Amino acid sequence: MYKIGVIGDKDSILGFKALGMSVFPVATPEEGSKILHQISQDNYAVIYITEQIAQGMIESIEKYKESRLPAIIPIPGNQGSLGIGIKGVKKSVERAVGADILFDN
Amino acid sequence: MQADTVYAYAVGRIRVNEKKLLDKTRLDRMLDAKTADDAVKVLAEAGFGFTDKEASDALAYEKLLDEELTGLFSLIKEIAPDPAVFDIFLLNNDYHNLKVLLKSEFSGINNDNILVEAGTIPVDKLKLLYKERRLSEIPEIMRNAVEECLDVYNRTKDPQMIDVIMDKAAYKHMVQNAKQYNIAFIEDLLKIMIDLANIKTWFRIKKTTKTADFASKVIIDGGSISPDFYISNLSEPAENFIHQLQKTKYAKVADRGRISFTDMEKSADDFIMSYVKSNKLKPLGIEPIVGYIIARLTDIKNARIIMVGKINNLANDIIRERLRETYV
Repeated sequence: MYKIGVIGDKDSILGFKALGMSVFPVATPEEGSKILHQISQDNYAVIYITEQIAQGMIESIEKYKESRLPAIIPIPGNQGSLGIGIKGVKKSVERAVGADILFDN
Repeated sequence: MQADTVYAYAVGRIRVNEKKLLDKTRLDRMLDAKTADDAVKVLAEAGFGFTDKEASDALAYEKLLDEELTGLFSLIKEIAPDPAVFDIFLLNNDYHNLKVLLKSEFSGINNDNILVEAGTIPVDKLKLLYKERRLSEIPEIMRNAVEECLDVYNRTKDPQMIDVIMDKAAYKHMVQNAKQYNIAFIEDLLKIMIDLANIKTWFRIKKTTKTADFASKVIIDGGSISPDFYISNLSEPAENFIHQLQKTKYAKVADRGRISFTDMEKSADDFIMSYVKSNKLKPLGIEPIVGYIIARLTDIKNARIIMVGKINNLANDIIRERLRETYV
């Protein structure tokens, strides 16, 4: 069975544990990259990363862009959204259907 | 009952330590700190933890607080003539540890990182006894609870039952322990703790619309209000329950139940604090020592509230309204 992982600062992600996801608290993007690399080999289909951590490890995330699994999705942390996640969704939709059908701009 | 003077030395040592408690000034300094790193420095200054004070940065605050918890009880062990009297404040950690061990076994996930050092049985020993099933070497109430958990979980696969069984056993154990020493102040404190736990539980089961049968499993015996009161009120609106508690000393706590759990929990903690505070000035006797234990536990709680708030950039007034009343 595939698993869902969450990487981010502890206070933002701990709640996901109650939903049965695996949480990996990290303090820095470097730690985040390390964890991402480790768990990407480990049957994770979806990995959520808080935007605060994700913005510092874009390079590591890009590596997985072309592979089918895992899907890496930035989510807002408890400090609010930086817009990275939404930007990613927009880009993916444009790539898939050729036009921005979700947002009007 | 012992003569109060046996605590003379211990009370003297406690008075010195009271100076290190997180009073309003220290809490304000933590709140006003620009960064979480600055806030944690106040803790180091107030004698929290015992290793690596220079290197302590904000994210290590949890280690600092854990160390302080262990340190608090090694101080008590060192100065109290009969340290076992204070076991009632450690037993809940033993039961916490056993919950962790039981759940780790059932889920196959290692959770050793959340074991707590400050119990009546050292963690390593408890782990070994549990692993080798040498349960005859742990106290009877504890042993029975573990055996019940193993049995009930294997039949029902319901992990919540572990919490239900262990929490109830923990209080039973505390009551038994307190009876043994026959110190009115501690027995009264325990009654208050049980009443407050039951009131909090009542609001939770009311909100989650659990059955009276479930309530009878989780409401704890041994408080000043009988378990029947909680169970029979479960079918009535919450207002009735709050109204009936107006006649008791818990009127204010019950009122807070109307607002939110967060408010009620703070109010319950403050109630215990005001109880021990009213006995603070006893020159001798066990009261100042118990007061100090509660005070330092509250410090740890307040420090955690501030640190989590600072690390996550919460506004000061949001942090402040959650802070517990202090002892000094």
